Amino acid sequence: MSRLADQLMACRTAAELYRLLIKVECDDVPAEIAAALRADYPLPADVRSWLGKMRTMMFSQADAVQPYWRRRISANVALYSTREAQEPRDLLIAFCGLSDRLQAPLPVILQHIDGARFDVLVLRDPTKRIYLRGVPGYGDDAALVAESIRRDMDLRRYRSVRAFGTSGGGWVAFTVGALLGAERAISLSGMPPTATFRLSQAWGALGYSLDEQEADFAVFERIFNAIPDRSTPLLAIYGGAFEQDRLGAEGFEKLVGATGIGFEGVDSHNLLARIMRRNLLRSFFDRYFLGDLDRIVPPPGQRMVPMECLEEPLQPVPTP
Amino acid sequence: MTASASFLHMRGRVLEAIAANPAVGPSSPEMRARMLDPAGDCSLEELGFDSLALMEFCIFFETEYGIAVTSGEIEGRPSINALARWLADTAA
Repeated sequence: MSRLADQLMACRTAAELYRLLIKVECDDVPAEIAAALRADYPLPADVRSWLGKMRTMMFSQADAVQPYWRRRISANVALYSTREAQEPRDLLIAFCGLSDRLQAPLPVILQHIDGARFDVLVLRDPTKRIYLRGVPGYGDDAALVAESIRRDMDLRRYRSVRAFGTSGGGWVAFTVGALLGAERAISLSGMPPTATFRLSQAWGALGYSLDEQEADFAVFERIFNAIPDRSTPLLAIYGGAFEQDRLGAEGFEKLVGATGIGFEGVDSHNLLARIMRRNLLRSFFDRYFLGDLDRIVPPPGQRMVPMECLEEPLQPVPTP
Repeated sequence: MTASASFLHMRGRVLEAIAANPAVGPSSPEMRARMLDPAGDCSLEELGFDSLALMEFCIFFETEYGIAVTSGEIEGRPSINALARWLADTAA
């Protein structure tokens, strides 16, 4: 039995089918995909091909299915946790980019994050305003989003908090991470909103949906610089050969002292897709979410790291 | 419609579908110029297409133009011009 396969079978048009698959890619848990893969249904060729790709992305290392379940906190916020959760746990707060996901299908991301250790709180801004007005229905700016998380998540029960954001979610991961005193905050292929504005003026539209006259592009600097304790380490990770994101990482370095980490030769905004192709997603998350900063940050004066660094075993930092 | 006019017509629709998708697009002025010039071309990968963007593209084509395309068919024509040429040939 598979709820997803049943839903796929019920689709009448290609558009209906694709809408469902998009929802699955943005919202669902690995177990749903695993059940659909096991189900013996006469699914259309396109769906079988999609499921085959999901299998390759999720289960190429023959890992057990990460048993996440989803609890909706609000329309644009969901908590993914495992039923057999061990204590103490760590909280990963993840801000999606413009396509409402983390550069890869959410079930794929979750399958590569250790559910025995992490709860994953996923937030999105479906209005395509790159969080300049916060998360709709949850907080009208980054500071209010942090307050809502503090209210809903009982942070005292977590051993550590880490924040992560892809693309348009990068700056808000830095801000919310610093406001919550996170162990570290990571922007993946992100840039400060002021840099987004400058680039969109020079290069043309970058995909967001904002009235540029009214939008407060300086909200990041304003909120971040008012945080009394800004000790959260900030990592701005990007495809090293992708100009737009190099400029974004440099912007973060200048504005808030982030550490830029460029992956050599990657000429794409979607760094995670390149990492996934090399079957190194789990290693990437282990390294940058958990690895000792002294070992994962390039030496002073350098910014580039080779993709091969993800093939080296790395001991996670001992838990406090 | 001549083959050339049909190609340009479909190319315009492909560009509209790309413009409607916030998650993809040119990442430099040079790429934008290449994308807009029918004598140039741009691969879907360099525009940032992933599985989700392909599906959004299919939905847009079916709902806006009544043309049903699958993500597998698009993957087999991975540039703006290859896709426009195939759509023009299919419609002929």
